[in-house]
Amino acid sequence: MGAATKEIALEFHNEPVDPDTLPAWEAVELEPISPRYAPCRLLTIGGWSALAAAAVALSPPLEAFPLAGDWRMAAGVFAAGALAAAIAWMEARRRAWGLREHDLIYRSGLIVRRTVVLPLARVQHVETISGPLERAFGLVRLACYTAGGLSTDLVVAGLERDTAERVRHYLLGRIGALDDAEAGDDE
Amino acid sequence: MSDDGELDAEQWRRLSPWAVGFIFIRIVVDFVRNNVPALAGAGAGVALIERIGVREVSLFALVALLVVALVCLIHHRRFRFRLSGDTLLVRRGIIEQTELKVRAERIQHMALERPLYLRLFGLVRLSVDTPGGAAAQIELPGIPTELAQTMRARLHREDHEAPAREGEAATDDDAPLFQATPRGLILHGIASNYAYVLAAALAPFLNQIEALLRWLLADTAMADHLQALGERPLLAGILLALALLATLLGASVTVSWLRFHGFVLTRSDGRFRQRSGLVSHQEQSLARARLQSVEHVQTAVGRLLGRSYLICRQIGAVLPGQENSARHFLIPGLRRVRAERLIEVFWPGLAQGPAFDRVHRYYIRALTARWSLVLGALTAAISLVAGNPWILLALSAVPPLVWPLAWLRWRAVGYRYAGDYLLVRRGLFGRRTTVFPLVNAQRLALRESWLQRRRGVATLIVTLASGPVEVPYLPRAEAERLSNHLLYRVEVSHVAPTARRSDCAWRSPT
Repeated sequence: MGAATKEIALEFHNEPVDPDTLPAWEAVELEPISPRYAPCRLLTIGGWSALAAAAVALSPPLEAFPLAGDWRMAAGVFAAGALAAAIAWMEARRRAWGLREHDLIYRSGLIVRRTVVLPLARVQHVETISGPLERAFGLVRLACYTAGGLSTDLVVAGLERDTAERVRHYLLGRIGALDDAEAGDDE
Repeated sequence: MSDDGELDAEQWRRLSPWAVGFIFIRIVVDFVRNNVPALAGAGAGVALIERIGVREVSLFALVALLVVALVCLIHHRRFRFRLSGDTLLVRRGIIEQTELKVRAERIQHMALERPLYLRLFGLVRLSVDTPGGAAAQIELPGIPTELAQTMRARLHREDHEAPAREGEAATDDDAPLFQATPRGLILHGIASNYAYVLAAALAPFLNQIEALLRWLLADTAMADHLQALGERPLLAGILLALALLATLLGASVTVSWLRFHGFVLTRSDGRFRQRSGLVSHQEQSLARARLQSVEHVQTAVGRLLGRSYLICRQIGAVLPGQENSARHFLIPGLRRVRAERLIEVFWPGLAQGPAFDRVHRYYIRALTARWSLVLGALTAAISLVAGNPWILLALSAVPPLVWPLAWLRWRAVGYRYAGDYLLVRRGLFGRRTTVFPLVNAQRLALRESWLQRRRGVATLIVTLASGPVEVPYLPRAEAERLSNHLLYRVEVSHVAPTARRSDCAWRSPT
């Protein structure tokens, strides 16, 4: 093992890197997610707000909540829901993703824009999830997990089923290849 | 180590019979600590007892205690553990039985605690932490000391066989890296926030304490003096504040002393170990290869006293406020130079370089706006509730009050890029600096609000396996440069494994 260490030490070199010549993730042309995701979001949020409005409208007047059963209150709830749905629609249209050789990029958000870059070497496992409505639209969410995270580290929502499956295969292949390289190095 | 111990460790074993009692007491104490202040503090407890009747309540409590005791007994009967080679096996569960297997190389942190009540019976508590999160945490409360030591030696032995990391073999020895001095511990007690933690814990009892004090002081000779004080409210206030401060500081120093008395930090076989404790002895060990980031904490008081402490973070996020618990690898009472030297021990090759880079000044304005909005809304709410529109005048005082705080915050925030490492600092009056190797980054995120985009700034969030680190309001170009460099370092460490540094081996070598 000592010899191996020495070998590593000999092979180890640390050339200075010019930061301006590094590949830039911000220059990657991101691909918009499926256009079907926007109506899916609209239906989800619109549906929930319609349900809430119906509950308010149909509920008998309560002592603690005198506005229950009032159609104006119900209309207000529905209007707020519709606004949220409209924002969700616009937000869904802006989402985009990109896959590079070594990382996965995902951009989301309308007012606060958030771009996440996840190095594939750090992905521990990948999972695809889809709710009933998403299935009706033929959409899938791709969730990537890394070490130590309390929650999922990256969820790419609104991928079409075939695309998601291909990406998942690619990611799993990459993770396997990286693990093999590592195992080979350790022997 | 005798051969007997090794043989013993291979057989299925139970916890010591005394452990039933310890588990029982701990469950009851935890329950009381978590629930009674809430009940008593609101006065609801008394009301409840009055309504239902003392006898019924005590009967109910007795039944509950019996149930808990029964559960403890069954838990103890079902709990088995053994070593198999370098693997620790634990079987537990009351209704569903689960078996946990922990390989030695997966262990990132191991603690051996010897509280006084366990020491009387020659027992210790061994806890083992893996990157798997809370579910994979194993605790063996109450096992014989020799067995625990054998097990620890066995579980550590794997590291002996692991290849020596670059250049570390030569420096590995048992010579202490750091020993806390009594003075250092006292200063640590004053500087650390144990006082606030204690104050928060006592807060629910304030009513009772006040009532008790009144009752005690009601008709004693003190009453006259108190009456005299009552006529000078300023003096009374100052005296009260001083007394409170002295009590809190005293308690805080005591806690620090109990926890860290005789603190010694050593290094051997790629593990850092610490031993400390006055009444409850404890030993902790931390695998070097699993260390994710080191945090240098200078509290506001600590900066005045010139003392700070280090927290070593591993895989798995630590909830804020739990840093002082026995489960975390904390090194107390350090002078600035000492702290810097220790950080270099944890992260070899870290150069003490130039000053930190500041973030964009626009951060001050953004913070002022954000905090002013919150305070303004609060003022408006108070004005509305009080029905007094004049309170709204206080709104004009909010921004001038908030701006200096925002400026202080901006001054505290900084980052320094030092070869293989990144240092990120934040704070207000205190300072908290996170130091981590670039290759430990798990994920990068860039957050830009609409206003930030207009100003060309962005917030960079680097997620480590130990939790996220945020650098707010970087000029956009700088944020991109930094993130591209981080990505490059992370990704190249896997593509060219021969050039990989040992400290990026967060995947265990197999």
